[in-house]
Amino acid sequence: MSNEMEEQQEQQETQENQQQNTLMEQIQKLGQTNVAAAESNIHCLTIIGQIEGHLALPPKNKTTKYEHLIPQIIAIEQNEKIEGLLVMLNTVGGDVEAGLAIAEMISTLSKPTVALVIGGGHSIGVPIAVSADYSFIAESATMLIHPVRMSGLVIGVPQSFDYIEKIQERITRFVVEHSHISEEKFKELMYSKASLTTDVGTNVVGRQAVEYGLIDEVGGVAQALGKLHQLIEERRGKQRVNRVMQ
Amino acid sequence: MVLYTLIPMEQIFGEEEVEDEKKKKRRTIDIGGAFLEVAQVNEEEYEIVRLISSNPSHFLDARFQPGKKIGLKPFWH
Repeated sequence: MSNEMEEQQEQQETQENQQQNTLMEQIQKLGQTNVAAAESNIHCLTIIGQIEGHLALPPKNKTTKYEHLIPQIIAIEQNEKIEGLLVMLNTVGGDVEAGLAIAEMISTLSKPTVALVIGGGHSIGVPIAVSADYSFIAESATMLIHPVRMSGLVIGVPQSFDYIEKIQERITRFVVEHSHISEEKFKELMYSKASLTTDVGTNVVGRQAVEYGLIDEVGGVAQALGKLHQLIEERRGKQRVNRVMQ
Repeated sequence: MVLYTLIPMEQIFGEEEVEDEKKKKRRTIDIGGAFLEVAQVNEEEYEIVRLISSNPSHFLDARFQPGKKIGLKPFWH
């Protein structure tokens, strides 16, 4: 009796969802990601182009979407086989809330994290770069530090200016707390009129970022991965000690 | 929403170029542990445009290389 019902149900389902089933099969066929892929104990977040948040940007923009990054960060925290995270940054900035959310998540990850800025890590890319346990910048990479603006909108009431001030404050506080730069220095760079010809702010190149205390070290892929391996080893050591103590 | 970027707003939200017919048919699919951005090339086939994954070994996997065609019946048809 129950077998018959099952059969009937199955038939119905096949008829109704034939197309959907083929799709599922095909996705499943494709989705066996663990077959050939070697397990890596280091995962890598690539943050490129515009950081896209609550508003989808027109398709001509190359974007990194927070709905892709956030589940990846959670998966990295939960998967026991993953021991460290490398954050690669080449971004022109983007959504403030999304950028700060990503920065907060990276900084609160229990596993070792290393960030490497290549090309550029501008605007909201700055808090993300400093959110990792240790940060590197490539010799030729730059970071543009400038004030938050509401372009295209007239600031008509003092409240909206206040709102921008508060956003500015959140970014500054995060950067100061997660790097060795002082608040005064960061603000000085942000409001400098001497560096950029058409705008307020400073373009900080490679070594300068280290001198200001914004980034920990100048380096590339080998240095970043080397540091991450070192942090992973240290963490393993601590865990062993903890186990022995218990 | 506030954007904090060095790209001018006009450039971000400005006029789209015409070639975007192809971009409209793009979809992001979840393949379990990673995302694939695919673009429709014809009724039956999709082309991989971008792989979004934090696992570096995914990028060495021949099945996920950008430009590779995959058969995928769109479920919205």
